[in-house]
Amino acid sequence: MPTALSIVAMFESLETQSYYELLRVPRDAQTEEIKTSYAKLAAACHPDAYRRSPPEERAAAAAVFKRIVEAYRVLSSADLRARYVRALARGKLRIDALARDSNPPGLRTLETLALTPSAKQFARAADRLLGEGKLKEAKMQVTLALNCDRDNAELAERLNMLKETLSLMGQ
Amino acid sequence: MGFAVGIDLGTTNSVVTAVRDGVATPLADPQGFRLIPSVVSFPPGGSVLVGRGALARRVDDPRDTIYSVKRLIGRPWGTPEVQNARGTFPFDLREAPGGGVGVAVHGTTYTLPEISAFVLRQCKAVAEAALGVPVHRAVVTVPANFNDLQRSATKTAAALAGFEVLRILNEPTAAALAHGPSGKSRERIAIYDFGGGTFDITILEIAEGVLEVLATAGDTHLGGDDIDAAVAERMAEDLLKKHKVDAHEDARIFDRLRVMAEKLKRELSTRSDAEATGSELSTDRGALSRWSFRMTRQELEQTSLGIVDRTFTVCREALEAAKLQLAGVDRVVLVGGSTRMPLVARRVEQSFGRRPVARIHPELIVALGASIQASLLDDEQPLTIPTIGVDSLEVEPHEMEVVALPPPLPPRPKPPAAPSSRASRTEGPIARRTEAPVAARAHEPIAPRRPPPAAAPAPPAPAEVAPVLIDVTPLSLNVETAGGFCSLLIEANTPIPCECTRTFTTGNDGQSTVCVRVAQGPSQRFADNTCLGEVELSGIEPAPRGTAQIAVTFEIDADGIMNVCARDIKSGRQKAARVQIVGTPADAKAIEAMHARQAAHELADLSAQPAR
Repeated sequence: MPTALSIVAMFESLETQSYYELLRVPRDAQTEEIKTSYAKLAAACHPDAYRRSPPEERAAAAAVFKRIVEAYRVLSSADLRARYVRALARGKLRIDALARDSNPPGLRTLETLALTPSAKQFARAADRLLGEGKLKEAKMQVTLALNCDRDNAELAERLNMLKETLSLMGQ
Repeated sequence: MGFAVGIDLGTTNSVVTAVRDGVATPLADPQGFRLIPSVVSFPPGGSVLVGRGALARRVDDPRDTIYSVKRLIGRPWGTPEVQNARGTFPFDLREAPGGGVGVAVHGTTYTLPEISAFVLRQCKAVAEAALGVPVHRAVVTVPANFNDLQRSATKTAAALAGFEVLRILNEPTAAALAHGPSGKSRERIAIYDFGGGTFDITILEIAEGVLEVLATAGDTHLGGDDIDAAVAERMAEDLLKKHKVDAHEDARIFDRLRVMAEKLKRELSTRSDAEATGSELSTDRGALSRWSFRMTRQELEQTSLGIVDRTFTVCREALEAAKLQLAGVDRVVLVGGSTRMPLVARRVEQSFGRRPVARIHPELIVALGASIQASLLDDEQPLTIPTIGVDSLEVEPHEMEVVALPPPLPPRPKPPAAPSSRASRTEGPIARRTEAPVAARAHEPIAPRRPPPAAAPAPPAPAEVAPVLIDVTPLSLNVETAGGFCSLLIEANTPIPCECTRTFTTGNDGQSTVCVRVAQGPSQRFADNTCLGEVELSGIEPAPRGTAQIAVTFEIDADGIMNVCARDIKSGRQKAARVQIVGTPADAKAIEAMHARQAAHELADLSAQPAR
């Protein structure tokens, strides 16, 4: 039976455990099973449960708790779990659940929003300029793209966002 | 041994509670009052009045009597909420150093955390008088949708009042904690919080002690005050008809009418008709003092129905956000003084199709939950699982009968037959937790024993028995990216504490400083969210652009407050980033000045409070 020592042991083995091992579920576990196991572990490893313990155990609990939440977030979402299975096959034990969201849905690149080839060309330039923080220049390119794609509401919305941002920056 | 108290720091009233001998109890002042009006008044002479004494001065000394601070605390000066409020308060709001809100009184500008600190000092004085021992530690509650700035400001206020803050706790979580577990393994609870000035609805799911906020919605300008104003309006009409006095021409008369309306409304919660008389209005206007105004409960309900029903528009919004039908809610818990109106309970029942739970006094429940959390977190209190004191339960017999008590709690499962090597703590922490927060009340029957849980890999046993309720961060945390957009760091509803590490780099050759702006909120556009401030990473070793790598860890701690630290990946140098946060004074000098201003004012003696 684990004792108070085991939170430190869990902490020390964090970097060697898969999300499945961390949540103590088999790789083919159903969502319900994962949820139940997560709830028990999260409560047992929450730093509040170590409120009266030495600081190193509290710190270990905080780190373990955060990782358990991370594991649950990935394994409880079908998409992320599929991504994780592929990552695990490559030997990666963790994935950044939000990494792919750095271009979150609805914030797709301007190029994907543009419809006609000429609009796409301007939009591509605008994407590059935005990446470089050149907002004014990007605005010009989006305006040109919109001239080619007159009824593209999403592109128009992005242009408005850009204009607002520029006006907020006093430009 | 000291006590750790729980404090509900409200917009209109505050309540302080403590767990004594395992029972959560609201603490009353020497005159027997448990509600402390969140009002601070600065009469000439240096001492500060808080509570009923301050409330009494609101009419006579409006410029120096500060109220409703919670509406504005932690909000940057330039925000529309602050700018719109400037015209509505009789006191003098100013921009405080650091970009927050201050209020000028007798030539001194106090920041809002300082004003709240006076209220908290009063709570502390009430608690110390009631308990007979010094009180230093507290759990303070905040609305679920408070952002980092508002939480930090509240924490600052508590520190200024001389408290060690054990936890900043979400109000609906506190209410759920006070209400105790249902015995079901999963339950959806709607916390319907209708207070003096604000309405909040929060839909929580609690499964095995892990709390999830499914949705929260609110109207920050909808509360009992609106009902008072509507009643005062009817009184003004009557006054105009009978005495040709236009209360709208004299703010002081209308203010008095509002106070009288509130009293009338309260009386009509327990009686079918009530009367206000002109003698409360004026002593020096002869004819006016003979005026009287009668109202029946039915008339009050007609006057307030429209206001009460606005809450259900907000409820529908929350249910839609939670993708829930009304039937999906297992329990509706009433919180806040306005839910004491019979009309409100009736409309909630009609609207949700089930009788709301009002077993615990709706004005005390949040503070009681806070003291339960305080006793669970406090190092100096014996480990017992608190219960709610009988005097906090609603006593009207008809209510006691009709209100469905939660089903009996499952008993503590016996530890499975264990090898002798097991330590005495082998009883799994989960078993303790299921019976956790507010354990079985004495009058509840003992349920038949459940079979012990199936053998599973045992999670680590915490060093001590410590029931845990896991809370979440209410708002997404984002950093700004090119073009004014957001990159998501931490999603709303992530259990806390949590953290996210991102790597940042330089945009120019030899650049030594990188600035990252951080915001909380649901929008993908940075400007639509609340900017928390700028993280400045300085002292980066000169390198070609894009090669420096600084790993920045954004943590949201158990109080829901953000902490940031940064590490240069190449050099491995661990160095806390300099974080400048708008709206709160970051430097030691400003905090010292705030402490000095607190020290300059003694609180008026508790015995000087009015008896009514």
